[in-house]
Amino acid sequence: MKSIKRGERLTIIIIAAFLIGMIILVVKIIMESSFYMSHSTHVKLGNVYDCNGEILFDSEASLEKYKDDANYFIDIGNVIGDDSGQMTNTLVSENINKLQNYNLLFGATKTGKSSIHATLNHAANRKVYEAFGNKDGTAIAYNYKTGEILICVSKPSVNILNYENVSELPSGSLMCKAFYGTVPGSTQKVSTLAAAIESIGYSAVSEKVYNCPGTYYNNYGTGIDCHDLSGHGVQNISQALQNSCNPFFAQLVEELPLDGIINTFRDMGYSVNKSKNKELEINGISIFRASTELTDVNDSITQWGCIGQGKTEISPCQLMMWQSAIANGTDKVTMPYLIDYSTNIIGITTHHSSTKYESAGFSSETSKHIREIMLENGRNNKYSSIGRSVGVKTGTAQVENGKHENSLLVGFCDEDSLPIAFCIVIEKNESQEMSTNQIAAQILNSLSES
Amino acid sequence: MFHNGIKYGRSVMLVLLTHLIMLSAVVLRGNYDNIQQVYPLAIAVLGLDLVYIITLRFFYNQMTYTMDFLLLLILNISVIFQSCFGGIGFSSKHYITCILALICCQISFLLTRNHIRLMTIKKYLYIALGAIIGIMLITSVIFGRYNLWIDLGFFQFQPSEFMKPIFVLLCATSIMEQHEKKKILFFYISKEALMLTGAFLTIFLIQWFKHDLGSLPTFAAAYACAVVCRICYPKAKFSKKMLIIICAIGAVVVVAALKFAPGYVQDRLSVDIWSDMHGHGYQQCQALMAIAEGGLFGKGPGYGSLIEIAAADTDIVFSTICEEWGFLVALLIIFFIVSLLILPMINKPRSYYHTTMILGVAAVLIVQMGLNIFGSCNLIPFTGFKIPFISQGGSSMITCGLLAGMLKAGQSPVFRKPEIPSLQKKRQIQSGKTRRDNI
Amino acid sequence: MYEEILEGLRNSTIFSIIVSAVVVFMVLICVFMIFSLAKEEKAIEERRWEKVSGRMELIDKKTGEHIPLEADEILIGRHGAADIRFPDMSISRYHAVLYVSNGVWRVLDLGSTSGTYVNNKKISSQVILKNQDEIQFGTQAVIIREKGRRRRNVS
Repeated sequence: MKSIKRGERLTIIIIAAFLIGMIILVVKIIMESSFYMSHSTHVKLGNVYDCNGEILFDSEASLEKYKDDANYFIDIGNVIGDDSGQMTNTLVSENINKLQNYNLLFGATKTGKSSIHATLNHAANRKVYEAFGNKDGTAIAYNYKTGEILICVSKPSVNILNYENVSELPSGSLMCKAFYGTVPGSTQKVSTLAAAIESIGYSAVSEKVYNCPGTYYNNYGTGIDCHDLSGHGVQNISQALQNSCNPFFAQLVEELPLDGIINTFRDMGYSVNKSKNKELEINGISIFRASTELTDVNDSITQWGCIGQGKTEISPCQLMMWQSAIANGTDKVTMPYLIDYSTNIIGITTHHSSTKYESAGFSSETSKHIREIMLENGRNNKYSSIGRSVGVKTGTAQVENGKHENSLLVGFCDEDSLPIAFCIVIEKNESQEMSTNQIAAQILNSLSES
Repeated sequence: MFHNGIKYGRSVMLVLLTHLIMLSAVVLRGNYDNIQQVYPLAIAVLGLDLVYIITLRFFYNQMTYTMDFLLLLILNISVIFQSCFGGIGFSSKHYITCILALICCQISFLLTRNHIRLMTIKKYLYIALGAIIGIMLITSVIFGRYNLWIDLGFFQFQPSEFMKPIFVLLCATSIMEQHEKKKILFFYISKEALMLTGAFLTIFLIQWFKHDLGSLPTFAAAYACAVVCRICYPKAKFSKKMLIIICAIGAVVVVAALKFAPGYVQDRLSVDIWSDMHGHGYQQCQALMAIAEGGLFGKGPGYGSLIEIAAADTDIVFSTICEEWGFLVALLIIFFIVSLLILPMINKPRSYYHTTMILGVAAVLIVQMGLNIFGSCNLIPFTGFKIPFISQGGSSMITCGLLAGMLKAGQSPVFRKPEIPSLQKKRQIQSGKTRRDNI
Repeated sequence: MYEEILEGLRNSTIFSIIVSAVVVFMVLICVFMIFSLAKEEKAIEERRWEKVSGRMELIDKKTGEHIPLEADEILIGRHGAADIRFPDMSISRYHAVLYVSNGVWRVLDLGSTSGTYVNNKKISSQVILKNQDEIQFGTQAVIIREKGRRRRNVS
């Protein structure tokens, strides 16, 4: 009868609402269970291995277990990180759900086969770390054909086996500097060159010759100093890049259209004048996005920005990524990655990396021209100590208001068997006691050995 | 063969087998040092099964037994659950409340199966409700607490809990006498509806002034069902337009209530539990982590770590079961409880009174269960509710027993006793009081 | 010996899962059993209702349509919410109510404008209905009678 049916219908609506709620709950639990587990202390984490199967992260690591080699983890301390929660933006902290020996089906198990196989080469990495000696800095190198990050070192690092009081660590220990912004110095001139070729064409750029008197006074009367105060004389673009001549580039920038530079820089991934840009990340690790300020080609801030001082900041990782496009002579940047593959609790591979490309922001013609200029620079005697055919660009960046100088080197190795692009930063190297060439040679040698 | 002529042998075996299998799961996976620790639980559970089934077989005279089997199944499973939390033992306290719940179920069944008789004792329901409200008021004046806990040594009573079944009964009875109503302004209002609204407002005001709005949603749900039933009731003379207006007013009231709720309620409503993991969100975080840790199949009875958290066997009992027995078992147990409400939908009630009563029971049980489970899992704000039949707590179990009895009454109702065909009948027809002729 | 085997089994994840799965399976079977049992009981309950309602049904005198009586209180009227609805203007929106107890049906007029008649007599209070009685709501006439297929007795 109708009146009874009405009551029944209401009851069914109530029950149905509850059941819908239960379904939402079940879906929520299934979707979010690994997130809940990342807060739990009852879960055992798997290990991270390098490309040769060496352990990079051991959830049961202790000084006891590694007493033979207490510095076993020091070179990758702030890249791989640990699960203590002290470090963020590291491979382990950002991929902890891949490492958890946890699965909704089995719950938290004591034995599981979850693991991450990283692309790093631990042996080579350690050699590069040791090559820094008593200097601080960072070095990152990757295969520009496949995108595997083979070496990533940031000094000072932290020994994950033995650190308790975070505040006592030297500053910068807990972060991998390769992923954070730094002043690029003259390495920025590669980008400026790319912007120049993109804006006015290679032939126009190659015809430009400017005089370097040591200090160039721009249209507003501000002096742009060259590192060689006696001046380089009249040069073309190739010579200017080799000399890393600031006045040349200041004059070049003055003759470029501002829109052209800004557009090329934005296409390359710069955040120009605080514009929003695509986030950059490698396996969950976020990478500092290059940023600069360009307002007026005649203004010294813009000119310095294109020379690599002023307000320009770039992460070594991104500098290295542009080198991949140049080295390949294409308009595509090879996207780097740190995780080769990961396995789940029962040992099945769940995530397998593949090489990905993204637009470099300049054409393949441009990159071929830059490649030639850089290779020519690499043939210079200055770089003979690297001992290989390389295309490079050095940089000297003034930091802390000119108190210190960082030495930078970006480049790539032009050998088919060793397709490596790299970026090296040596901090506080104003006295030039250590050459970036040494580190570059170490990177290429140790990688070619393995 | 039972009274109604159906053979229940298969069902009896299945109920026993289910409990046996759960007990053997305790033996096989449980956390105990010595197998003798399992014996008291096994004896208690199987003993209760047998005693209750024998009682059903020989001493009961009713038309349906499914509700009894289901209730027995749920209660004994909950005894097993409660005994296993944090190590195998025997939760005698919960066991006793379960038996009390079964008894209360029978009492309320006998009381409510004949609605004609219930109509005559309706005034006692109001007296009982008044008495409980009175106790609450007096204790709030004397002790400064409105929720008096009567401690009987082995378990505690909370009188305010008993308002729920009485309220459901009042809702059902208020629907019955719809003819006696007057038109005030636009509404046809009957005495019962007014009294029901009064009772609801009294409960609401007491809770409001005592800053404890925790159990309000249960009453609100039962009252809302009564109101909806009333305005849907044909004799209530409500037009569709009026229905829409009332729904709109209800929605506005709910939104306004959430927006202008007092500060202590607002705090409860908006907590990002993961950013406050060690503060307000502690219980919920632990509960969610426990569900995740248990996985689909659980850690094993007695191996849970959630038992150290406050209210592990009452408010967040769902997570505790998930952790020890697994998500699937916990979901199925919840489905069992929902089945209690689905059964009346299969074997339909024959009177509007029972329909309304079932609706009220469904509203109370579902709201309570939903607020508990969804609250502890952070779908909605967390409030201290208990899952019917599963959570520990004397008054909550007895209340649920009473509510289950009402469901049973809807399954085996009694319509008026046989009347004596004599002069008496004629007199009654003349006096027009035939509605109360056969009590 | 037995304890060693048990200990070995308890440490195996697969074994735990199997045990759990058996519990889940058993609980599921129980749910289905309860539902199938409820269906069996529904048949019993329907037979019992026949006893309570005296196997009565209404017959529309004009159309000869059979109207079942399935609740213990049935509202007759023109309103859409009425249990039995006659869209006839002579019938009030809430016209009359039929009650049943132990096989005896009664009719009560709810103060309708055109009145309710049993065997052509206007009723003022509850009236007991017998088999084959004719009830008239306004101009709508129905006959209450026992269902055609006879069984032994109605208690």
